[in-house]
Amino acid sequence: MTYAQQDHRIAVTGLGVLCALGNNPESVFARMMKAETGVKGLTRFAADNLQCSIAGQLEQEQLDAIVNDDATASMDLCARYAVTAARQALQDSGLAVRRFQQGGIMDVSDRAAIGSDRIGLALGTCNGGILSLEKQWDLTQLDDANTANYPFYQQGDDAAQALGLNGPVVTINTACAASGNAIGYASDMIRWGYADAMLAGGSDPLSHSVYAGFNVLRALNPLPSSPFGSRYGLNLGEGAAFVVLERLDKALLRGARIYGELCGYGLSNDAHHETAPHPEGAGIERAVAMALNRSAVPRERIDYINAHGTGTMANDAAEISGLKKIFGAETTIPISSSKAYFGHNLGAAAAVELVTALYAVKQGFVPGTLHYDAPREGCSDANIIGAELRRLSPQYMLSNNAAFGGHNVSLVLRTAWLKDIDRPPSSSWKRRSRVAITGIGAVGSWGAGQGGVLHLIGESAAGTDEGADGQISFSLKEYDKSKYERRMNKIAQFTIGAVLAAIENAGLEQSELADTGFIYGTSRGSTDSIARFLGSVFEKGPEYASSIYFPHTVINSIAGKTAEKLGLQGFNSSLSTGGSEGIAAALYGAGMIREGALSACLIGAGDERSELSDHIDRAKGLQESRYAKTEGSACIVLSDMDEAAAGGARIYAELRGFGISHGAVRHTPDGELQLRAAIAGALAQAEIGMDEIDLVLLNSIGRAEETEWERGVIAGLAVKSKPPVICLNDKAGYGESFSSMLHLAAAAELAYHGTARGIISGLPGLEEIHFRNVLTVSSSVNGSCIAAVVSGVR
Amino acid sequence: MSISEVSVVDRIKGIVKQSLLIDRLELEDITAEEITDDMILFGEGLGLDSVEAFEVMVGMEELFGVMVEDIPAEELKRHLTNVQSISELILLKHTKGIG
Repeated sequence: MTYAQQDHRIAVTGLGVLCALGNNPESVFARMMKAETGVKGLTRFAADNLQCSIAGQLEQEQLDAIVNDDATASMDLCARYAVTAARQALQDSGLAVRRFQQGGIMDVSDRAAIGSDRIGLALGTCNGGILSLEKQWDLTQLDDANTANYPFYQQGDDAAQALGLNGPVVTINTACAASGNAIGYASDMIRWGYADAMLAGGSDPLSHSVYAGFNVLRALNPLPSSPFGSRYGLNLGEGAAFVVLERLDKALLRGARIYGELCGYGLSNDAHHETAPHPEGAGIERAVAMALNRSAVPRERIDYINAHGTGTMANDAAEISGLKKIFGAETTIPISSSKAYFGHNLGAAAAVELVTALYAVKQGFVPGTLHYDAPREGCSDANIIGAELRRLSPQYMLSNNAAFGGHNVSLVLRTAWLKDIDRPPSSSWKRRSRVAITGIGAVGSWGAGQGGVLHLIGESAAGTDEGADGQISFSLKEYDKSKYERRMNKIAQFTIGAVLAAIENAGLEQSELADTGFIYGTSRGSTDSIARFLGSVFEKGPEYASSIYFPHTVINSIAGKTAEKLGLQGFNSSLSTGGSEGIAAALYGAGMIREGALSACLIGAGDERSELSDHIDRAKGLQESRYAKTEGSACIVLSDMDEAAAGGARIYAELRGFGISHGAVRHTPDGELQLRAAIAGALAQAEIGMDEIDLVLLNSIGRAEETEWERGVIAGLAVKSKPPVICLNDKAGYGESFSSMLHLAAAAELAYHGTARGIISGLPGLEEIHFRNVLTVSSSVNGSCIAAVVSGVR
Repeated sequence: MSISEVSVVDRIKGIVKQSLLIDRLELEDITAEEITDDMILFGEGLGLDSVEAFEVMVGMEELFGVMVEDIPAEELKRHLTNVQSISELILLKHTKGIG
């Protein structure tokens, strides 16, 4: 099936939750009905010198059950929570995951069976495996076993691995909006044909250092919080929640229980401040507007809003203000915040809130706002649902969340009786645009450059100014002082530099930036800033946590700072895959342009070297790589092909197809199948054969015999002539997120020029080739693989 | 204010400028000499923001043992106006006993 034939509606068919109020939707709902809160005295760690000592912790019994599960014993608690909630959701859905190759052809009469290659997982997390570093409480003596569990992507990968999934796997890192974004992303994966079902949700266990960070920002409420009410401040919680999303037609066919239809979602960035929301809620307003528009649901049809409603002074009034801009100052739509039931679950918040709300709606209720007494300033004329659940069966509802780094998400769900499937198709889904690459920018050992990357790599390989430790000397302050600020970490400087170069290269006007999308990939964010924050907590004590570095422990802070400095207010996301971030981000952005939701989207990826980053490399076995480590950032601009051509833009190449799989583990038969599956997917979407590929750009991590294995699998795909396979990392160095973007940009550059002559030398065999179609393949540390077909336009 | 108090205030001001502001906030674009006693710290002047305000508060506790938790927000804002007002608060807290 080609891309153009995909147009699926998305059903929610399974729910799983783990939070302070219980370990399944039913028990959480029962306690919500009794107006109970799970926010109680903190026992997980000492809070002696902090201003608050309550939190929404899991009951000890729940925690013990997870900790005693041998199957997940090697994982960080974040992944273990995720596995628990995801298993629950999968079981609830009745879907049975069948390993794709078992017994050859699947029994098609078993409608509840799904091949493992047709189901993937999107996890949202705010802090990844931070507990694995806290366990050690000393950054100078990190051990490998725990440190290997820290990276954000590890949580999504571990969860997918535990459930035996081979479809698309990604970890969304947009802090407190992460699981809402993950659910939206997962729905796209199904609508765009990459999967038939997805597990999507979020997880964040209670972290001592994160608690200390909120404490130092004076955001915690020493008393149980009352969103929109009289007591200012939030309570932290913990937990995980997942939904199963699947194609509505298939769900109906197999008679699945349907909790709701995910009609669409919107993302935005405040482009305002690293921790504080825009005071008038302009960011959440844009996310809601986009969600309604993409869903083609008129705002009058929304009967209930599950708000972010943290209870802080900065959030609640701003959020109400943003909602009023959409629904009118006189709006009477019932609004509630679920956070006083189980605390603010950070990266899991959106998923926990959605799962518990959908379950409540199934019982004929919507959640209340526990502890709501009297409206606070700015919330007085909103229809806030009080402490009791309200008997209500909304036809459509919204679920909203907002985050540090300025990221916002809004989900639109249809929760009315679903057998009638007469809902009008989404307006934004009528177009099938082609995707052009119209700008390239990169910051590396060469400084900042644009219009391609191969000439930059060639120059830097000749006379490099890179230090022995792989650190580069780019300074944003020198490149563009107006975009620099005090203490700006290296990766933010690289990223802003690369994005500025790409914008200039594409000729994007300042006035266009507010509506231009921005999707960014980074596996680790600023490890230097993270280490400084954790260092302040570990060495001086939680009461002396560094407020200036705390906002950078969430790795969407890089995308957030870039959005803030450049005024990128539109569709904004940040993700991690552990090696293929650049292409993963491009896949996401290209999909948005294809369906007409965006005219242009900036796609970036970046890495930063630091001591902590070296520790992580060692723990992940990346020291084994034959390539020298490097740092930097690259950015490409994706545009609607017709609009770009009409506007006279320079078109480097067309992004014609993508394929994505999980489980491409080297030297395994399954791994070989998955690597082939990703490539086959990209070729099928591009509607070309392997024999039409002129060159393969392989972004290999380069561990022992890994590159040879990958080359072997790729060579096995070509029937007639075998295209050369080139890896740029021996010239450019390896950056976990950066390198995949460099390969994609290089593919566009070669497709544009049609020849390597005069662009890069020292790659034998390339001089005689005329490049039309370049296949880019990128693998991740844990075996996720993404492939993209990039073609010249002439 | 006695002569000894004046010299104590001057010493506090020096520590506030160098250790509390420049070192702690890693201000790379200004020196202690350039920060005058009456320079506005937040918003205008030195241009610090709310996240940096919390760092200053934690720093006052770490460097001077001065806790500001019990001071109402509006009043605290006034105390954090400039180096002069911060130093006076520190001296006052010390005169009255720490905390």
